[in-house]
Amino acid sequence: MRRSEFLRSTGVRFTLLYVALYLLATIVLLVTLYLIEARSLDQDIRDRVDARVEELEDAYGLGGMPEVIEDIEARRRAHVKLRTFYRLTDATGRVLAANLPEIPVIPGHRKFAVEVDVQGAPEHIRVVARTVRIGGATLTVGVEPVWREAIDSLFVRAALGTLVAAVLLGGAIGALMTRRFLRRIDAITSTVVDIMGGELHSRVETRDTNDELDRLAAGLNAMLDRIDVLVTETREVTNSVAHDLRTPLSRLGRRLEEARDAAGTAEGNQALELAIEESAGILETFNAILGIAQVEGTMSAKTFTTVRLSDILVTLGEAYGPLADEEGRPFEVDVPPGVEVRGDRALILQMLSNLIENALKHTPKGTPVQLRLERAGGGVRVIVEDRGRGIPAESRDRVFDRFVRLEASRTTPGNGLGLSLVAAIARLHNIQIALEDAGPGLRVVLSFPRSVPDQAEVSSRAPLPVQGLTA
Amino acid sequence: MKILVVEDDADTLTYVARGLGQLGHTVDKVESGDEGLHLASSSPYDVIVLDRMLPEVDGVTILKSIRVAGVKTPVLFLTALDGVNERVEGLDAGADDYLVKPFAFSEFAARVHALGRRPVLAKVEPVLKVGDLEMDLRRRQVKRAGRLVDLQPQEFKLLEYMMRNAGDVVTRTMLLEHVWDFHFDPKTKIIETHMSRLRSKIDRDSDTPLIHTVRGAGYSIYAPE
Repeated sequence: MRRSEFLRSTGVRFTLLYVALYLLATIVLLVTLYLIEARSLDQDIRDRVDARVEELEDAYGLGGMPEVIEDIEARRRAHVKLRTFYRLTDATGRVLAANLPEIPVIPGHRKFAVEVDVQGAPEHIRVVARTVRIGGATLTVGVEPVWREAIDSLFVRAALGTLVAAVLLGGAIGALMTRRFLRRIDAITSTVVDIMGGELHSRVETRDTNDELDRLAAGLNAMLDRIDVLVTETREVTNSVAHDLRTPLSRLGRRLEEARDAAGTAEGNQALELAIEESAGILETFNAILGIAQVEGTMSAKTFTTVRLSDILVTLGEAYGPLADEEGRPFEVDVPPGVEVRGDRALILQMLSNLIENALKHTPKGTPVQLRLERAGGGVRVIVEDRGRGIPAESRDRVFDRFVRLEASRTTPGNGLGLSLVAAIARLHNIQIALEDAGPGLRVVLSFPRSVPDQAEVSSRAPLPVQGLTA
Repeated sequence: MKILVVEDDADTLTYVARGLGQLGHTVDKVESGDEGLHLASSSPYDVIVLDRMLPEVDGVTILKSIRVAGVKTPVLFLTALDGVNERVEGLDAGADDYLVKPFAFSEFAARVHALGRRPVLAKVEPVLKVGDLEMDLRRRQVKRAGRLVDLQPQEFKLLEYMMRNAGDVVTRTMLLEHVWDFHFDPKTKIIETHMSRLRSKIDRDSDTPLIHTVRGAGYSIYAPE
C-alpha cells in the first residue's frame, strides 16, 4: 500500500483522529492538574517565608536587633531542609547579617534569580523573597523553592510518560474500534461485489442490533429484494411479450402475404385492411405494456394531489350509463358526495374505467352492474360488482398478472393487460384489491388507504399487496 | 393555414406534410430542433407541430423558449411516449394539444384544425349557433328550431365541444379527452352510445340532420348548405 493510499484509508484516518482526540484530552487533563498543583506549592513556599518573617519579628520583640541577628545566625547553622536566605541592613544601609545579595525592594512575595555564597562556593539559585521593616532595619527573607522545582521536573517526566501511553493506548483502542466497524462495512462491500458478480440472491448479514449499520444492511436487503422482484417481473414480461406478440405478428405477416398475392383485387384490399387492423392491435398491446411499465417505474406518490373520488365515480356513471342502458343492463351508481383521496386523478379514473369495462365485457347483456362508493372505518371502498359468471376462486390470484386471460374469456377481444394496469395503479396508490364472490358474479373491492399515506409508508409498502391479499 | 412541422423522422415528416398540403395548408418542414426554434420564433405561423424528442434541442426546450419569447402560436406536441407524466410535462411547457405516435392522419388533421381556430374560441360567446340549433351557454339551454331540447350534463358538454368546432372533424379521442377527460382508449363504445343519444335528441325530429359521422375519422356538426 502506498503512503497516500494508506492515509486515505478510512480505518487509518479514523484511528489517527481517535489518537489525536485522546491526546488532546490527556494534555488538557495534565495541564489542569499541573496548574492546580503549582498554585498550591507556590502558596506553601510563601507561607514558609511569612512564617520565618513572623519568627524574626517575634525575636525582635523579645530581644531587639541583636536577638534577630542571633536567630538568623542560629538558623543558618542549623541544618534545615529548605534553605533560607537573609539580608538585614540598618537604616544607614550597613549590612548586619546577610547571605543574600541586595535585591530590589518590592512589596509582597517575589521570585528572584540570585547568586549566593554557600560555604565559600558561589551558587546560582532562585528564591521566593519578601522584604519587611523591623525597627529601623530592613529585613529580606528568601526561601529556595526547591520542592517546587523537583516536582516540576517530576511532573514533566510523568506527563511525557502519560502522553506516550496515551498515544499507544489511543492508537490501539482506535484501531480496534475501527476494525470492528470496518469489518462490517467490508462485509457489505463484499456482498455488493458478489451481486455484481452475478450472485443476485446474496444478502448482507444483519445482527438485530438495530444500530445504524444494521439499519443500512436491512435497507440494502429490502432494496435488493425489490430489485429482485422487478428483475424477475421484467424477465417474465419480456417472455410474455415475446410469446404474446408472436401470434399477432405472424398473423400480420400472413395477411400482408395474402395482400401481395392478391394485389389489386377486392380480396387483396380486404387483407390489407385486416393487416392494418392487426398492426393497430399490436401497437395497442405495446402501449398497454408501456403504460403499465410507466406506472410501475416512473410514477411516484410525490405527484399525488387531492382527488375528488366522488366526482370521478359520477363521471364514470354518466359515461357508461348510456352504454349499459343500451345493453339492457340495470346500472346502479351509488356514490355519496364529497369523498376525496390522495392520488393521481387520471390513473384512478383509468383504473376504475378498466374495472367497469371488464364487468361490461365479460358478463351477458341484460345483467346488472353496480358501482358503489362506501366509507369504511377511516378509509373508503369502491366496489364494482356484476352478476356474471364470476371468477373461480383458484383463478383469482392470476387475473392481475400480465397477459393472463382466463379460458372462458379467450373469445372476447383484449390483450390481457387491463387488470395488470389496474393492479399497478392500485399498488402505486397503496390500494388493496379483493376479488369476492358476489354469488353469482364478481365483486371487486378497492380499499383505499385509511389516511393520506406519508412518504415512509409509501416507500416501505409491500411490493405486491394485491397478491398478498388475494392469495 | 401556415403550419410549421418540426420532426426529425423523415418518414413521419413527409407523411404529415403531404397530407396537410393536400388539405390546402402551407407547410414548412424542419428536421432539426435548432432550425425549428429559429423559424418558430422568427416567422408567424397559425399552428406549430413539434416532435417531443429531437436530436440536439428537444421539443420541450424549444416550446419553453418560444413561449418565453412571447410566441403564442398554438402548438401540437407529437410524442412516442404515452403517459400522464409526459402529457403533463408537455402541457406545462406550454403545448396546447398532445398527440401520441403513431397516429392516424385524420386524427392529426382534426387536431391541427381545432388548434388553428383557437383564437376565435377564446372569445366569450354566450350563444353558439349551428343552423337552427342554438346553445345558450349562460342559461345552459339548447334549442332546436326554437324548441327546447333536454340534455344530460355530459350530452351538453359533448354538444358544446362539437359546436365550438362546428364545421371541423372532431375525433373520438378528442371527444374522450375534452368531454370526459379520459386520456386512454376505452375498449367499449361509450362515445358511440353518447353520440347516438345526442343525435336522437337533436336530429330525430328534424329533416336536416346536423351531426354527421365522418367515416374513419370522427364526427362533425354543421348545417347543410
